[in-house]
Amino acid sequence: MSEIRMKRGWNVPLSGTPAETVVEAARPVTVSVRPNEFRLVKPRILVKEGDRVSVGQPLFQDRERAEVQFPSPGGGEVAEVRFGPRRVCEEIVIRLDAQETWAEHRPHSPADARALNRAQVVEMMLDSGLWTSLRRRPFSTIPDPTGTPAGIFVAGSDNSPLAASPALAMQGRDEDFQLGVDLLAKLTEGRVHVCLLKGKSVPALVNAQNCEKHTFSGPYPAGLIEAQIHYVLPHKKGREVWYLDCQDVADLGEFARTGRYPVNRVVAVGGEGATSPQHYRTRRGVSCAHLDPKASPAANRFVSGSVLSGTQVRCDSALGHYDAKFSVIPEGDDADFVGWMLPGEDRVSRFRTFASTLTRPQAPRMTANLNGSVRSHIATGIYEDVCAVDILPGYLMRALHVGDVEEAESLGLEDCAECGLCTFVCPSKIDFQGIIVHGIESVLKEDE
Amino acid sequence: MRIDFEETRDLYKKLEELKPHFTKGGKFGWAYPLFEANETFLFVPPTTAKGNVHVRDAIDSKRLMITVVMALVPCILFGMWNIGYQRLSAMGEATNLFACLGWGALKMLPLILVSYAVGGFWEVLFAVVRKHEINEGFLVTGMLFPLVCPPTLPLWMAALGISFGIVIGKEVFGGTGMNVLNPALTARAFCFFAYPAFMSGDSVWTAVDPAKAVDGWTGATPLAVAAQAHGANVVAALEGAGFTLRDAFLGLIPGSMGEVSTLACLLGAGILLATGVAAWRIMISMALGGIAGAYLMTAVAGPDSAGIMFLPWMWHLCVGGFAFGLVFMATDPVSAAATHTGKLIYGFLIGVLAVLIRAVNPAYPEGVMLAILFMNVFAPLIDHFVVRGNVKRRLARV
Repeated sequence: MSEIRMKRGWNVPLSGTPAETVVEAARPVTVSVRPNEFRLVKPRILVKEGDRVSVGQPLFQDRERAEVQFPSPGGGEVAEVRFGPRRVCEEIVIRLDAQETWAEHRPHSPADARALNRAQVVEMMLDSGLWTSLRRRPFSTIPDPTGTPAGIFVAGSDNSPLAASPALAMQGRDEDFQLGVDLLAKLTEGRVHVCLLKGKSVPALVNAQNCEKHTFSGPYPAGLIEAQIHYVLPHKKGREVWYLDCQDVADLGEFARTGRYPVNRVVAVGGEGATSPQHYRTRRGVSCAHLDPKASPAANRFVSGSVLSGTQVRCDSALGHYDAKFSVIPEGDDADFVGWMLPGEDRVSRFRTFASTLTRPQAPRMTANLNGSVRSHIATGIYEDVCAVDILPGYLMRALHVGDVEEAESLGLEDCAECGLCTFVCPSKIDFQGIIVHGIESVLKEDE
Repeated sequence: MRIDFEETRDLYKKLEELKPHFTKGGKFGWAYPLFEANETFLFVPPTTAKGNVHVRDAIDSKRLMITVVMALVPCILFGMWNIGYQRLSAMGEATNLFACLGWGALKMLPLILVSYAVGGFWEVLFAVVRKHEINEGFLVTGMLFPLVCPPTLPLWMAALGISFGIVIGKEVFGGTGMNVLNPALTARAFCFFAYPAFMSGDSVWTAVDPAKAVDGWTGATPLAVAAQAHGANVVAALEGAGFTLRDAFLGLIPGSMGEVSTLACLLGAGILLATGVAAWRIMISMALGGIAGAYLMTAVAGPDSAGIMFLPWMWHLCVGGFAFGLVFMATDPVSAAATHTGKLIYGFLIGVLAVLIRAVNPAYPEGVMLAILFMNVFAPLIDHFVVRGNVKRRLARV
């Protein structure tokens, strides 16, 4: 049990934090997956419209690594395979049957499951499709089954804006979680590390055995697993670590026990645009329009994940494979008359030039608006102020901007937790995150 | 608070209707930077975030720069008053508030106007030629330059100076964000070396005809007095010339227009630090560097050294351009060191160097401008070592 304090970072205040309550959501009519959301994965689609699929059956696989298969979150008919520009498959929609069928695998008693060896656990995870819930550091891609991680990290905290509550999601899943941890422990030469946030206890995780626990405190991104890993096992050449969400660990345990791909999820919906920000007990592949049908798609932006690192989705699109929340914020695409010189008693800013520094508004005005126009980069030092990992964001960005990937790697591209704060604070409105993602993609392409 | 009326929405619609004329292919396509500057002055655009970061800080470059200009207001107002005060007291006349402010405005406002107009011309010209937006940093440069000039500077010299500062100091390097030197100080350095008779000496700091001055008036600045004094009794020499530390702190001394009052600079520093706009690391370390430099000079001074070698650190911080340079010039984010550690080193060395130049340079008594410009040049080197340290730390991980 170690306690780690992250000094740098910032909590972006947003109204509409999901309440600590869970309501049962109605059974959705359709669920879907977004094959293009996985970094470095080139999907080969295995189904076509009209096919019948059962829960857990592979919908697509990675062209480069056929053993990495992505399971269906529902049983029924493939209603739509939607392609976007350049024949990129954007979404596979499944209309659920009243009685779903499952792709059945062999169930294990907990004792039998714990007796499995490493190869058997890997095989089970690949067969079930749960392998895809693992990601590796650096760069957050799905790991190679042949790799051996120096540690496996379990994310049990969220302090991003509009944070979801892992404690609610993990209610009653203690035994499955423990079994999942025991299975994961076989995959690594090191330990399973469970990362928590101080003051946000998750009983299933706190009581787990056979793992090392770390309690983090501090502003965002103290609750972000990619940043947490940096403080425990920072990137080193030749070392990789794997990580996954605590709900996925429990899913692994549940799968070993039942032989069925678990689809139940607790999903938070938050933000100013959400009609009642709260948690929903629902399932994988659900859309925000199903959970919160009253949130207006015209006025709002729907983000799967956090507003600082998530993906904008259509309101009827699936929740991301790795996400546990939807953030719904006003789009704010209107011009603001002399907005930059008003007192700004309701604005959100890391700088203290607005009256909100004094008024501390309960419901700050925060939209997807850039709040300014793009200008030349000015090195105010604010990037270094908010960057929680040990990198110098300005210099990293400069190297990436001129395409010097080698220099970027020596400056810590692998360390970047992609928390989005440097883009958030930039007074010149430069999309640093976009530059970083572009750089990561070019490194990954080079490695291929 | 938002200002959102039918009228403002109509105005925005009208601007949008005009926009095609000012974009590529339009009749006035070349003038897009001007149109953009005016439109974004009136309206924060409706552009929304793309990519993975969906919310953005409410700050923008305009607000950042206007905050610096606001922080300059105490220096502007006090400087204005002091120009009149110095003139009227040199003439032995009554120094009432409005007369002082009036005389000051008469001297200061034309210089500010010229600086903004000529500098703005270059800024717009380069933006049009390079087809990029007009950067708001110019609002600060255009105000800083006149404030570090003597009130007697002829307007055409100010025009030449700011032209040099903007074109050679900034634009030839690629424009805002790319310059090595602080443009306002580059402009001042140009005037200083091109027209030394108008930028140094005893007669330029007070806007008064020496023939009309009272007997015994010299116009010398405290630094000049200290440089000419001998031995350790420098403070007595200063007091003999009519300067007290209190006057120097409040700014009742001759000097460049905006820099005389340490108190006004401190007010500005308060605004910059409270809003988080300027780097406290540079301010603190430069002050410490100045203190260290003063002690160092006193330690190495011999009995016959110039009086300025013995000048106590409080004096160094309060006279000349030290406080103004510390608050507004050294902290320019573009030309300063960019890393946290780099800022501490950069500021400290400016402080030491400024005092060193003051004390040992026989040609002129002030050293802050040169110290900052010198360290501007070295800032990338300091940063380089800090960055390499970061890389080394990464390689040394276990």
